[in-house]
Amino acid sequence: MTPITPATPATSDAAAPRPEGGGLALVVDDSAVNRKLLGQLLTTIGLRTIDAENGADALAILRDDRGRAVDVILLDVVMPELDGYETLAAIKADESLRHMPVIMVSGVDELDSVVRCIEMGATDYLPKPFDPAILRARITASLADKRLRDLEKEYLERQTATNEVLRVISTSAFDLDTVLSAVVGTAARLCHADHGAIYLREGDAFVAAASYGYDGLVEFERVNPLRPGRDSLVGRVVLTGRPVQIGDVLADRDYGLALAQERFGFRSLLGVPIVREGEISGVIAAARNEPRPFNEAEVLLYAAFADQAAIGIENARLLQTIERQKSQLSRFLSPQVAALVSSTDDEQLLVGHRRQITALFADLRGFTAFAQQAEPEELLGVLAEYHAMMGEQIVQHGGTLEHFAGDGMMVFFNDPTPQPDHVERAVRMAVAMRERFADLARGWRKRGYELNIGMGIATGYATLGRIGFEGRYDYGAVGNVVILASRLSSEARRDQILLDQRAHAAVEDLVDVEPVGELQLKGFSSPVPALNVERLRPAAEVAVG
Amino acid sequence: MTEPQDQPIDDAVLEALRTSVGGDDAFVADLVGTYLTDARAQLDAIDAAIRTGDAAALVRPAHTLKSASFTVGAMRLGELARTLEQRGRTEALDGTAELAADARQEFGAVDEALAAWLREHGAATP
Repeated sequence: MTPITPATPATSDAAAPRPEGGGLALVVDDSAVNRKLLGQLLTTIGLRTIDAENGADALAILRDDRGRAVDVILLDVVMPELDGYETLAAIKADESLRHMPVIMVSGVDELDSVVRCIEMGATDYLPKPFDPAILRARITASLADKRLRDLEKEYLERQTATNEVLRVISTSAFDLDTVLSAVVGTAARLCHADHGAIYLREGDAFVAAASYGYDGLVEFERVNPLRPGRDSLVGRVVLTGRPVQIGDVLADRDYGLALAQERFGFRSLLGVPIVREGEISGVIAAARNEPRPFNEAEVLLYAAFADQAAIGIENARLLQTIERQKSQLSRFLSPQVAALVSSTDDEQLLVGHRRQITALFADLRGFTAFAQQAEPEELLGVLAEYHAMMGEQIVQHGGTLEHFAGDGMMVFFNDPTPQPDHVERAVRMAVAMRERFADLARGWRKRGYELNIGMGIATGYATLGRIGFEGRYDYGAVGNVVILASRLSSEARRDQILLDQRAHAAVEDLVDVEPVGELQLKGFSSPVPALNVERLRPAAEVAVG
Repeated sequence: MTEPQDQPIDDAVLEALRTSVGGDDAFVADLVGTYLTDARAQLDAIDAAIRTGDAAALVRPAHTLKSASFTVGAMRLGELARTLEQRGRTEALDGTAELAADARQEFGAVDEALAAWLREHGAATP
């Protein structure tokens, strides 16, 4: 039985510098004697070697797959085909090779050429005949330098990739699929994995939600959800709550997903739990198609990506919750206020502020008599039709509904969303409401109910914000303008829309009005002139929004 | 600079080489075998370059022969090769045929000396 390998023990690939060797040296020398001897000397200090007889062969090796593994180049100066200078110049001119340490190999009588090579960017030189102690010192220094550079490069790559994932998380927070795909792909590429996948908990099973390098994994695993247990990598991660490696699934007797192994061909597996609020909400997994375990640095990197996935999942769920709450809220509040409540930027608006608004009150004439004689079902039915029609107009004109109270309602404009044309919107809405109401009233009249509407509109400054007490807040407006609109609505006779003078001044080009004289209004010391909107002028009869 | 030697092979150099590879006589024997094979080819290339008067073609085999000869302790042969290399570089081919003949003769002595050294160290003669 292959034990579950915990994350901590380092494998042979650990990135820590080991100056005593362990690298791959490319020996470039046209003398077979020198190649052999250097090869032997390098082997005794723990390096592996590749040979090249001349510079052209060396460049060919460096530029194919073998070149990626080379840690140091030992380069003879005098060679056929491409000599040491030309080879060195070609290496330094190649972006992908330029940082490779090059140690020039030269006889003591060639020190002039060594100086020239160092000027061209060679790291060091090795005098012939070879002294094992000098060789070891030069190689060790160059390898340490190379490992530092590699670490630096790797660190930069990882930092860049991590930033990229964070950017995706912040810009695509609504789209969990995009976030998970970015995380799984970036992690797999950075750790040289052939495949990657993220599994999310659904009930007591774990289902693939995103994958990299697999063809059809999500569909395949959806049919075969994974559960806690030793037969799968994901199952083991969930069982242990820790990172798990399977060095080679073919050598692991407990591993039971033969079908998946056969189909996707993976051999080495790594899985890391994605933990949210102390619970495993998913697993991020990586796979290689050869039995080559993941090293400690790679396991740590996967743990970091698991955290990012957890943040992404958390963000997406929070946003989904907010969206759901907002859509529910908007059934109770006007959409602008619902948006306001869900937004942190506009907290200040909730606290209370003064602004010019246009307030509109509407209520029904004959409603009290109707309420007394009608059955409750009829009453509610009529109110429902009335509210539905009015609500539609409020939304269409962008009004903020402050309250419904039986047959009455108050709507205001220019808050919380600024509307430069707030008076015009209120007047257009009132005219539209009066027309729609006439249709409704005809139907009711047939059923024997005589109902009419009256409206009042005023514009001026009000204080707006959260009104009420802990446990029951409304978003409301307080001020003279609100009282004035309410009084005008009370004074309006059937089908009248009464404007105060300031509201009229803002829309006088749009509407035909008839003055109704100066009204004595409760709470107002002097008489208030009011005007009834007869109609929108033909040129103005273009619906808003 | 290397001092002129009485012997074709400087035993101290060969001994240092042997020590540097951890006293691995089999490896030294293999290396010497490679040296002898390559040196013959290099001597041929040197002769050919001189015969055709190609100074540039003289430099490389002379250089390689020099470098490998110093490695195995064939100091006199190494010096001859060094002179040939310099003649090639300065395109001064006069008298190089004699130098090449000397080198070939010296190589015969080196060959014998190396074989003797190997026998002494219990390694098979290449």
